[in-house]
Amino acid sequence: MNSDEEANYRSFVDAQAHSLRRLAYLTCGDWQLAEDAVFTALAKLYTRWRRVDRPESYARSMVVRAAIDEVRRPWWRREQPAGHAIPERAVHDSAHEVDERLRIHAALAQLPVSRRAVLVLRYFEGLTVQETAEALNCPENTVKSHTVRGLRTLREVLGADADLPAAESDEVERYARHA
Amino acid sequence: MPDMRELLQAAHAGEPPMRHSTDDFVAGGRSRRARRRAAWAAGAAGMMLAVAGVAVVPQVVAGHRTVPASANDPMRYPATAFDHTLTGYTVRGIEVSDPVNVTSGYQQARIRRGDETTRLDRGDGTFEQVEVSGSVLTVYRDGIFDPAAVSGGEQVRIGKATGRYVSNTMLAWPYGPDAWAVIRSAPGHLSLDDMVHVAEAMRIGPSRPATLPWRMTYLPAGYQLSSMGLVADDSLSGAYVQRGDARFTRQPESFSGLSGPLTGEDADSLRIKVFPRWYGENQLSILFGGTAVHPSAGPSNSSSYDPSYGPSLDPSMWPSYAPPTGISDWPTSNPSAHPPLVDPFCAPGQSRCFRYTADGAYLIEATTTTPEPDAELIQVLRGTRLADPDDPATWSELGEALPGPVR
Repeated sequence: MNSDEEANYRSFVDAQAHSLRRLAYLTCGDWQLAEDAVFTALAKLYTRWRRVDRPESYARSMVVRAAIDEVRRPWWRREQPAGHAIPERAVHDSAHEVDERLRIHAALAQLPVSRRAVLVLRYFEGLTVQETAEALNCPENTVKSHTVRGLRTLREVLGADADLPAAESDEVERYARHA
Repeated sequence: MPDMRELLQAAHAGEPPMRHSTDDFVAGGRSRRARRRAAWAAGAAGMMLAVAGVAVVPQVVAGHRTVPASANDPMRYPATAFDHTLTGYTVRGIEVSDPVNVTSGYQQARIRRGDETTRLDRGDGTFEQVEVSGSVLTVYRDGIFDPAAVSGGEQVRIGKATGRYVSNTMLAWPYGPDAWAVIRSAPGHLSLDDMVHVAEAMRIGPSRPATLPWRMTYLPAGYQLSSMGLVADDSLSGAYVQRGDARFTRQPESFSGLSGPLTGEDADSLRIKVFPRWYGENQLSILFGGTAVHPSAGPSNSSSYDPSYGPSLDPSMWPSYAPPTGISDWPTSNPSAHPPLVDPFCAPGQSRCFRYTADGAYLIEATTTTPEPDAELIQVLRGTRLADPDDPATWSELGEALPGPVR
């Protein structure tokens, strides 16, 4: 990597690191693991910088995959995070907003990490089924089934007042029976 | 009524500051690239040997790890400070481990005969049979070891090199220009003949990145990594009970003109050690004057848990691990069954704090040689997350294991 390429890489990291960490956090549910995932993914990106055409897409995919890997590591099984990993910054939430955030956390925690990753990529990053499948290196049918089942779980946990999207009709028809 | 995107945005409110700077990410990328190149070079070297038809004869016994032998290979020291090139091997029934402690000046391995164990009292009426080693191999980076330390020793031939043997204590020999390795034996543990065989079987291995069996998010300001591994550099020989160690110092340690390894006694050090719970609780019992360890504050979901309790000055408040009811089948895939973290606790006035892992399998200890507020050590322990100490595949390379400024 020459100095110009490294400067471009630095600019990319400056611009994207925070949003990538948010993506990883929504996937794995832990800020420490999320940052570890971003560190791993961006180190890989550094070594392939010249060969990657769309670094945003590549980094997003690598971060989500790394976040899934982080959740599957032994310490996740050994020590479920209890808020000690990295203290969250105090925010001026009303009591209602705090309750709502905890409720959403609890709902997302009900989902297996791969299913959560699908929902995050589709509804937070706005990716299509095809793009999500490419990012996670899995079949489109897997994305569709995870979407249906994930949304169903969230509806059950959050109740009817959450304005959740309806999965595409073909997804529901095909997978709802097995959800 | 929030939509899906608003729900997800709400979920990441309260985002903490980043631990890593842009420089850290660049350093992580450079480190990864360097490792890939080193691995490629090692692979290419192996290919060249094969193509040239060079006979690679295993001179050491398989069962631990068989090392390809080539008497012409110099032992190379890794270019990256904490990477290591020494690979464990067995020769004539004597096992040399993979490096169990590494500094920027040398790498150290334990030496034991295959059948050497000792029986330790677990403190509950049962005993644990653990491996024990009486000798240590230290491979110094070139220019680090001062051969004057063994100048009075008997001259001994090690391959094409001339080593020095100090009777019943140690054998030192140059494995490269101004680069020395030393076997230090407990009295009567290894004979000169044993040492010579161990020395002659020492071979080059591919450079491997240093790893730690944990990840940590916090260290007090000013500390830098000085030594690390599976075993602490102050207790390398003896019973094999430790499962991880790192020593950090405020001042850079000088790795030149050494007559032996450093142990951190003379430096402002912060050290982390990991023990199996049974061994750790025995140490607690000794540390706190033989008083039995009783659960009190306990896990944070127990009925006796007092969330207001701080670092305890009262031995009756040590939170011995007491698993909550219903998690006997731990580990489990059911997230609701995961035990919570057990809060750290401290020995009064000793700059020494501890934390059990939430599953109760291990005790993590954080100590300093100079007074450090307990709150600092507690923060260190709260940010330390243990992998599987018995499975190196789960360990983290330093770029991931340590907070950014320490690396």
